[in-house]
Amino acid sequence: MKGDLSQEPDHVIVERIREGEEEVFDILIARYKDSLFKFIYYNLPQREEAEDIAQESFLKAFLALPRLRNPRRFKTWLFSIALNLVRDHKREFKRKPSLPLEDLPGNLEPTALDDPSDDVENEDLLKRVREGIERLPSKLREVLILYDMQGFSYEEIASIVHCPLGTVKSRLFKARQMLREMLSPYIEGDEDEL
Amino acid sequence: MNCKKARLLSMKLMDNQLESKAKELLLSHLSSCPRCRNFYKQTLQLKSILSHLPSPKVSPFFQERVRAKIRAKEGIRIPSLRFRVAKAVATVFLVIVVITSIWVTLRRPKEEDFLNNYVTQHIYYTMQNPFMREDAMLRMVLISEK
Repeated sequence: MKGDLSQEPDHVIVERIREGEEEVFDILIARYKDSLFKFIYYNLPQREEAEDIAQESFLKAFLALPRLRNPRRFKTWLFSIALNLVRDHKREFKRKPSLPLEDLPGNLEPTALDDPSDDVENEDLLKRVREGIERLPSKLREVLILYDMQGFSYEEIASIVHCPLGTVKSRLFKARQMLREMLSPYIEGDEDEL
Repeated sequence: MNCKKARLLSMKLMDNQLESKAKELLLSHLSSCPRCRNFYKQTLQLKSILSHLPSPKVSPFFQERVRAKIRAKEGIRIPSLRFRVAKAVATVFLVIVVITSIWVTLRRPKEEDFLNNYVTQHIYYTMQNPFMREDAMLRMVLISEK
């Protein structure tokens, strides 16, 4: 039964869960656990806490599933729940904006940057990018991660972060600009800039 | 086109959200402005790096832990749609049964009504029949004389 549904779109699975087949929620967990965890992790880079919040997000989504108005928007809704939990967590434990680089998970996937021979340089650059992301103001960071790392559309992001479309665009612009300024010495540009 | 506008449009270009005319104007500006060209190249590279950042994996027991949390909270869970529909149908059915039984009870003819009807009908048929009518009238006269 579950095998048959694994290729089905979210809204079909959501309807089945609402009709009582609660075990098929596993398909949605398997489908989104990694992307949701990545989103939370880059917003809140303490691995243990990020994983707890990811679990809590799925739990809240499952409990509130009967109230989901549009099952086609399950993914957006799930990320919205996760973002609210991240914000609550940050409010509860106001932390210094420091990135525990030693906390990098051991089972990271290999990066797909241009030249594999530049692994050391890439690793250094990735660390700096992560530090840069961490230094961004929360609201800019959220939008940057959702757009450039998760591939959500402007409309979906507006729904997740609860703000107008224009605000999403301006936040994205500012986030990219700030990050570019922070990383300018480390990323390539034109030699004849000045 | 000034540099501020060019940088704004650069973002749209890298997101494939720029019309062809604006794109032409921007490319023309970029070819003549090294600062904006540098801005565009760096931001484009940054976008590429961001999309390739490592994806941390959840622990192997992630799914089991979520399931365990769901089981623990099952008691306070909002019931499924099917269950809620069944509950609503049962409630409506019960209300209909109660209202119908009350209505039937109130509408049932009482014993007094039955007797009144019986006497009225008896008098009616008695008065319709000439022999019985005379007999009845005679009895009434006798009763009144007594």
